[in-house]
Amino acid sequence: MKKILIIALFAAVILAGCKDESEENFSDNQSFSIVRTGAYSDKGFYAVDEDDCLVCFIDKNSYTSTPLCSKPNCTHDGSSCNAYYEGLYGVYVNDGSVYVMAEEVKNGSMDLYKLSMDGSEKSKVRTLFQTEGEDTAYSAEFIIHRGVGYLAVNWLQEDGENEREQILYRVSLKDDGMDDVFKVKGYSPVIHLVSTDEDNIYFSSSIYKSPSQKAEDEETAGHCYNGKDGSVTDIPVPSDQMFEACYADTVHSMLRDRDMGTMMDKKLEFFASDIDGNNNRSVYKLENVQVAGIFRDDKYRYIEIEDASNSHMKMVDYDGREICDFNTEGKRAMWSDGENLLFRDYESGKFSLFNIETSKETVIEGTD
Amino acid sequence: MGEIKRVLFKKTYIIPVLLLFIANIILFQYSQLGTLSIIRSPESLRGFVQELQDRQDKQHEDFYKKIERISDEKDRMLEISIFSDEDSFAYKNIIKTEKDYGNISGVELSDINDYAIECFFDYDAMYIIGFVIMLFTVITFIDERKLGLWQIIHTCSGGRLRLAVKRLIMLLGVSLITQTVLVISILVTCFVNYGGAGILFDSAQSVDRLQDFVLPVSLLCFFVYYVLFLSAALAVEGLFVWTVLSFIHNRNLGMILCVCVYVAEYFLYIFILPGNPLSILKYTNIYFFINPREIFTGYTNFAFAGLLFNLREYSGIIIMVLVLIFGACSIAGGIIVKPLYSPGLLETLADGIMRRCRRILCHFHGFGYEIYKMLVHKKGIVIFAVFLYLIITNVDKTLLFISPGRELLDQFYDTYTCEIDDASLKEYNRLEDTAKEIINNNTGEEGYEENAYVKMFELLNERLVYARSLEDRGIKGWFVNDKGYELLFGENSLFKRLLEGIVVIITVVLMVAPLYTSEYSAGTHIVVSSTRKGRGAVFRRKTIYGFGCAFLASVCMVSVQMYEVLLKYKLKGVGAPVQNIRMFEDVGFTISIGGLIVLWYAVRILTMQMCACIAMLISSYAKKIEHAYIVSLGLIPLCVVNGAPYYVTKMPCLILAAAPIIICIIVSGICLVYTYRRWLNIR
Repeated sequence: MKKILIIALFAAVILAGCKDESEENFSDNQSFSIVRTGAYSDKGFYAVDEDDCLVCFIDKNSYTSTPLCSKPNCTHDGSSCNAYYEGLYGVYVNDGSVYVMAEEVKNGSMDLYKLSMDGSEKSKVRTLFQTEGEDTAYSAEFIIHRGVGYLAVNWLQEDGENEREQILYRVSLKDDGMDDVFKVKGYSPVIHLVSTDEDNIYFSSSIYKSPSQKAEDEETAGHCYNGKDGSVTDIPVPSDQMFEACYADTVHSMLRDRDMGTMMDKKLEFFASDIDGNNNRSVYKLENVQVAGIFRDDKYRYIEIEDASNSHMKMVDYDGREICDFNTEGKRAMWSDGENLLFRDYESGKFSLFNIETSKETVIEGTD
Repeated sequence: MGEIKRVLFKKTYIIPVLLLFIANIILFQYSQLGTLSIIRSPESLRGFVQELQDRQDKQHEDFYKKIERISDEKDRMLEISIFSDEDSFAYKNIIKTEKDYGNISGVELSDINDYAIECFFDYDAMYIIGFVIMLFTVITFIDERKLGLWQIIHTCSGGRLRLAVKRLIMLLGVSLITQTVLVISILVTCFVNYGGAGILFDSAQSVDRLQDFVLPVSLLCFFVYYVLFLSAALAVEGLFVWTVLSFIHNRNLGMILCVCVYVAEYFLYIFILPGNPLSILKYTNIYFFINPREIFTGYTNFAFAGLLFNLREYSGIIIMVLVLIFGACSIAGGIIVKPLYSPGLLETLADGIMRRCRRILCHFHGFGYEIYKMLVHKKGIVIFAVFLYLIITNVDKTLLFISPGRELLDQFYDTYTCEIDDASLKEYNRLEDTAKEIINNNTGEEGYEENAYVKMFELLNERLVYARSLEDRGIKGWFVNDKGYELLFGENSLFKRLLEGIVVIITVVLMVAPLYTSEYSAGTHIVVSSTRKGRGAVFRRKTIYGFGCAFLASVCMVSVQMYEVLLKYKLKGVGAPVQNIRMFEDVGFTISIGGLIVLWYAVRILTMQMCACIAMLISSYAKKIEHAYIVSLGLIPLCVVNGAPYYVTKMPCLILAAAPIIICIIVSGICLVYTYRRWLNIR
């Protein structure tokens, strides 16, 4: 009996130490743009400053920005600074840590770093992948959700010659593990990571069915990867619409009519449907405009419009209601937390915060 | 005093130490040759002095600005939410930094030029030489074990404690004297070379490199502090090695353990980034304390367990703590460890395994028995297994993504990796027409920066232009993808190749160095050499074993490297002249890429064979196995052969490029002859 009790006690201690990863309290991933130049926490935004190769923190309370480095004697211009990265690519906030993706320019390796929220601690998590240094530009789509990374590398190269395979990888942040999650084969294949909720990662894939790559040959689809059971299910979206995102059991998709000369959308229509694809309905329509970009968080869509006279941004909720329309001339939208929009001025490089509720924009004071 | 005379005041200790002190000055002067030649000419001297003056003016201005900025930054940063938590490291760091720099806000900077001191801080070999002297001292302490004095000392009343304490004091004294001599000799040489000794009486911050040293003291005081710190750090190194050797009866195991600890500490130091939560391991590190200059030339605060530590203050305390701990341990080792040897748990376990192996292997005779002795008895198999593990786990399996354009190019190279001829040019022209058509039609799709096909053609065109330029020089131009060869030979894998070279040399030395010394220490050489086949045959067997070890280790190394490249690239076109690889554009003689690979691999493999021969020679002359190990480890610089085959570009003809092969063969031959003579004449 004694032996059984001792064994049971040991087993209890050992089992208590084994914690299912999915049960841990991880914060969900944020979405706004496939270019991950920003992320938010409850205190402010973390943003990429490409000009100075710095990760900056923008404080929502004091409206000031600072490099993410807690050393007042630091000149923020070398690798000894926790905020400085030569090939800075993206910034993420997940589970109480800031993650930074940066390319080591010398050998073309894309590395992932983990920092404490105040930037005082920094460690290298792993090398995600490698490219040939001087090779063509690519768009590395990477998100962190529930302690696991998801990666797809899309080449910014029109490829009509060969059928190629595009892969979505599941990346371990604890070791060098990297597994295939989803593969798609065709001409110019692309995978976009769009949104997350609970255990699900929503992503879209797009291929051309023939080498001529005509618009009618394009095949887009939405998919959902369940991180818990590893299954991939297709998201039902009508063939003429593009899967856009999935929030609160509602599938969002859009129909776009692109002017190939200006590379802008002349006409946009947004749809919503139930998770099973039923009840597909148009929620918002925009015509005779030049749409330069579409961003989204889990509350709103932000439609960047370039008119002949100026640039402005329409903010629309997922039911199709216009919330506001404001001037964005000379600014670039970087990220949103649903309450504030972070912008960066093209010329001065200054950050500004646009409060959605009050429609008031505040320029952020920063270090020189 | 008697103990000092007995242990240290003897030729075998004093002369090598003096030679090292002299070597230190010679090495420093060698490193200064470039600057000394500049200041010899009055014209270049004027420019040099002006440049120094301008630099100094700027650094003075920057210093005062920096102090002012830190004070302003403190107020600004504390208003930012992520830094304002009073319990956080960031908050404490901001307060501490501002306070520390406040100490030096009022210092006046000297107008005297600081170039001499800058040169002092640029010189690194001094720290290594100090470390070597300390290791030599510790080994001298341990020598008595072999002289048979240990048993006598151990039986004297109070002998053990008194001797251990005396040696501890001697070791501390040696650390202080060594560092004082090393620092003063280099400082004096610096001032003789460049002048400016008056700066010693001005503030330490007058030296650019010391502007982050936050104590308001003169440079002279700084150097007193620096020497004391270096002495304590050197004492820690000595006491650590002495402690290990005191407690571990088997000196081979002790030395191996020391090497393992230093290697582990090196990797901790290299791979832990400054802001890492584990940075305490980076800074409480016996490798770091060999050259602790960074503590004084930078200002670093780090966090551990929620507390803030200033690196200089922390190191000062931890060094004293380590001196006390290792000092106490080494004394305890001297008292507790008895001359009578009883194997520990590890050795008992190893013996158990070995006993089982022996049942099978004892049936071996001749060469088989020689292998058995070295691999099983001398743990060669364990060393080789560790080597294989290190080499294999070091393979880089990072995913390499290649663009569609490059994929198309690879497809072209799959068919047309060849000399530029009519068939390949015909295909090239076809690709050119298609590319032009694409450009003219401008079918660019949304979101794409370029067309893969056009990109592929651009790259191919670059290759053709390069190949044509080779043909103008009378060298056959090829369509060949040189990316894989660049990875094989180039700078991106340079550090890794050097590291693997070091691992191979250490493996070869550890496996080969006991070949002859083990016979001497066991006294079996007398028996062996008196038998009919005891000289020539045993020598042959040992030589084959040595060659075998070096060959296997080096072949494993080059094979793994080749495998690593083949994981990412196809190495086609080995028949092309080597100039077709851009990094070998300037090679002045004819050799194919395959020929260069063979040549370079032959050089690397033969260099390892040469290392084995030198290690065997050292082993045949060394009386003690530790001496054989230590002297043989001096072969580590030969790892540069793995570094880069750039030397080929400097050679005017193939014979000179192949000269290392001939040198390796000649040196190996000479070593073998001397080893054989030594083995024949050993008494």
